Amino acid sequence: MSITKERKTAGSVLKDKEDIFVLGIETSCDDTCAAVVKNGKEVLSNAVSSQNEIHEKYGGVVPEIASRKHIEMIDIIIKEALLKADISSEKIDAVAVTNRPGLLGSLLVGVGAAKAFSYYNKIPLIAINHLKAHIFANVLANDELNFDMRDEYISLIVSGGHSSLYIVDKNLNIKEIGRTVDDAVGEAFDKVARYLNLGYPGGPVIDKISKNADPHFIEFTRPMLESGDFNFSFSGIKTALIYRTKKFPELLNEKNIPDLAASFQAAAVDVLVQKTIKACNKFKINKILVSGGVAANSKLRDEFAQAANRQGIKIYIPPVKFCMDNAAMVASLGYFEFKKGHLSNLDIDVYSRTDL
Amino acid sequence: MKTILAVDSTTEILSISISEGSRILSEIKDDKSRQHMVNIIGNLDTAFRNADKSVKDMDLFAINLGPGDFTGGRIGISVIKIFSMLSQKPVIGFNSLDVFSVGCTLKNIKSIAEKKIKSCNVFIMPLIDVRNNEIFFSIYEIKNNKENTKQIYEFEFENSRYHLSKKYGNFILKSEEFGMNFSQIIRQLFLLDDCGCLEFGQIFEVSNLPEGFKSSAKDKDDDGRSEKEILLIMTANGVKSYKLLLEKLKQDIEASHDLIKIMIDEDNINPDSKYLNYLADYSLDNGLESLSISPVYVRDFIAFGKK
Repeated sequence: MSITKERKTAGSVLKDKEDIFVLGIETSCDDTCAAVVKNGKEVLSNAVSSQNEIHEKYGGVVPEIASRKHIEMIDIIIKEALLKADISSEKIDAVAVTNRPGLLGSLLVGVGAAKAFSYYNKIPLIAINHLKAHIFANVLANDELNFDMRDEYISLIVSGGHSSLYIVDKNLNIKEIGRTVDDAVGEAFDKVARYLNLGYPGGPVIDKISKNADPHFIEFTRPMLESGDFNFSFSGIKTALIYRTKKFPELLNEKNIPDLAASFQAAAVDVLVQKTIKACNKFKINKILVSGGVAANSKLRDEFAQAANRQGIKIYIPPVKFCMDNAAMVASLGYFEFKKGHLSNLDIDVYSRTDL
Repeated sequence: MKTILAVDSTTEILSISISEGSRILSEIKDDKSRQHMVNIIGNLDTAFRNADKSVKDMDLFAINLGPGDFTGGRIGISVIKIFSMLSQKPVIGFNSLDVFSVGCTLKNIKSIAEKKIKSCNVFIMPLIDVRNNEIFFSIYEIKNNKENTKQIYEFEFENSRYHLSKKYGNFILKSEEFGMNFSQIIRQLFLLDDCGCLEFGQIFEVSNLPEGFKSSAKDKDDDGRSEKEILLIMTANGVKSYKLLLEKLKQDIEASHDLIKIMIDEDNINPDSKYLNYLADYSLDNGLESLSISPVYVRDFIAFGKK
């Protein structure tokens, strides 16, 4: 495309500048996000417009509604990110945007905006894989990790839309080794919370009420623990909970709800932790990167810390704000790809799935 | 003279045009349906090159807010919003009914002019197929004099001035209901001059007619002529989807009313962005306020609620 001849290449930008400012844009699901990150690690701003109150009455994300909100917020959130970073739009060196995987109607709002920004300012555009960005949230958030590292990791991404395990190789390429065969764990949390009338999103509220409750109240079967592979299943636990409460309706008394929730959470977390550790053992890798919205869960964080201690494995989890969908991780991965010269053309498309 | 970039990505044809004053400097039409995300920047760049302009030269941005065929409309909206934000130049957004009505008017100006010379009333009815067996429509009128309210465009043709204004709000009906109520809609056209802008509910309740109105075609007009002819032009993509229905309605109405001619305009199926340039230019000159820059939704989105 002739447009690229007029735009700066990564090489020319890097030659002239010491500091590189990347604008990250993320609209793959229901949060409209924009962020400015300096040199891949310094977060100058991290703006998020969440749509929780809107999807709450449906108990989950409604794609058409999410897309409409993105269109409403996209320019506002980019402006906010620039303002908070105290940087003018002309000083941005590159735009990184999630273009896969996710909801198509949502993705195209962010990608359209990113292309317009890139074209207007004649700066490079970088297409970002949302899942890889989640993995990079750890690099962004942790001083010990950096873009030049040459280590292998097992990475677990757990969110409302994803529950997958990966190997991250020495060149920071990722390969999927397992995923959920039905609901994502975050989705299961949402559904259980909805069933128990606890509100939306389910994760935070179940986390909170489980804190002083009994996780052994019911010992739900841990699905696929001995499946011999690295796949997950979470709708089984949810279904088991529903059947149990239908058989014993008194379980739904108000005083039992926290224990019910805690038992569900314990089963889900147990499977995630155990299978991740199994992956470490199988592939002889002793470092774990955990990320995604469900990585904010305190029980998950605790159990991982304990298991890691016992096994002598190093574990990395970002602070909560970088577990949720955000554009800072997109900008961070964008910087990494930018330095490697992995730029995109202005004719990139959006994809609902990705084969990593 | 304002330089305006107009984008229409609401249908399978991506349409882009750049104007300066009343002159169109360049136009692009790309019919690779559902590839708007892939092709939009490339097409914009070509349009700028052909016009010998750059995006930073634009004084104003114009966008079709829909409704359209699919979610492609929001691609154009997203791009234009960012151009506007970065350049700090305004955006004007239009409903696709407005765009179709201007296109229909300009494409059929000869027939319209003939009718206006004879003091006929001329109405344009763009009908948009919004799926779900529903038709989204409104009614516009072309007059020789300026209207006080809801005028959206005016132009000159062969030394006469023509004014296009919107007579109703926007309506959505199932195609069967549209068919059943069509004759009532036609009756209202006879009354529009007197009633001004009617609300939706009033169309279908003839008993609500304000006092003193006669629903007769034989009212005298200013020149003392005893007959008032009406030309109704139906246009936009609904005439393709509902061709058979509309042809039947046309037959029925023309058979029972001597004074009505209905024209089905099949040349205006896809919106053309240059009509956005004209509309934007007019809005700017006349200080008209834009719609808010978000897609036009024809029905409130209803999803499954909690049990």
